[in-house]
Amino acid sequence: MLSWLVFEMNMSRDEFQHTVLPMRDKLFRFSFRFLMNREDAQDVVQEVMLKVWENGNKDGTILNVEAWCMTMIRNKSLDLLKRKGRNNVGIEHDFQHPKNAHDPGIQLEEKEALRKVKALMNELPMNQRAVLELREMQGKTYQEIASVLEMDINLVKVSIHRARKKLREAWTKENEYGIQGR
Amino acid sequence: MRRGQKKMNMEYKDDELRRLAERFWSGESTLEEEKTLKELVSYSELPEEYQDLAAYFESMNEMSDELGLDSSFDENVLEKIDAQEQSKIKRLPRNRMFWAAAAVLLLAFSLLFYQNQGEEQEVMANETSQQENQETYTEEELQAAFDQTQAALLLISSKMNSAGSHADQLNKFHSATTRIKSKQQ
Repeated sequence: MLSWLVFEMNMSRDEFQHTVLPMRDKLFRFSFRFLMNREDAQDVVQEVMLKVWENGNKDGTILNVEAWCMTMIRNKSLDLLKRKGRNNVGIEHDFQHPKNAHDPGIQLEEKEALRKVKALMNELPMNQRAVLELREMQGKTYQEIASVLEMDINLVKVSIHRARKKLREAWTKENEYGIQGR
Repeated sequence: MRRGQKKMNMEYKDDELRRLAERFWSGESTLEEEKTLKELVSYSELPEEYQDLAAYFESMNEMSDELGLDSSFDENVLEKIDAQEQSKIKRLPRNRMFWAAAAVLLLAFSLLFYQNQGEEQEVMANETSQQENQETYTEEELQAAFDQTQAALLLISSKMNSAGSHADQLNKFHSATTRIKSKQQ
């Protein structure tokens, strides 16, 4: 009876488990850059993954599953923001609860300047956060970023430049303050 | 010589670092250049002026590592997928299973019909051959059949004779018309 199901989908459970599920952190971070809320970002990633399974790339038109997922994440995240009437405010500072939060030693050793840079990342405009996520953490080309975010490639470069500049200034200011304060 | 070479390498690295850092902060660097820049920044003798770059890369790495989902997410997604598949299997009898059953029944009836027909043909063939073997004709029956055939052939022959006389008349008519035509010319 299960053989009937095979006709309905191109992607097997095993294939899904080894190609789609490993993208969970990437997709989650990308969604988080828009929503700034862990639960919402997790829901969006789950919704997109189930969509991938349902469609199963039936007609073979999805050539790059990751790029397709990224675009879906962007669209679903923006839809959720619209539905909830949220924009770039109401930031949840999730970086205060990192994976290694249980280790007090690591928390104590974390440099103040770095903490400031990371906190500022959350306060950047939504597009700049998304652009930095794709460039600095996922190593995407300008063209790929422009395609996923449906932006002009020059605007992508400008957004990257502005975001880097702000974070750099934040680090410099914090570092100078730290030196003066000693 | 070695010192000179080391100095040249250091100068080259400094120049490259400066060039790549400028391109990086202006948002113009390629992925390849950024990779080289990260390697140069991780160099132990990094000048003070590039500490901001090192801190930037470090903070990005940390942010990348910090934010993620755990394996319970995978389990949850797989459970949902399995539940979806179960509901598909339950839905099957309504559509696909009906057609599957219909196809099997049709196939079974076809086979049954084909088998019966084969058996009937075999029986008929046996009966015919038996009849042929058993059938013998009397002298009178044979004579009657011969007479009937002869009468039929005679009828055909007489009709053909009358048709032949009509054909002679047509030939005479044709020869007369050709003679008249030749005289006129």
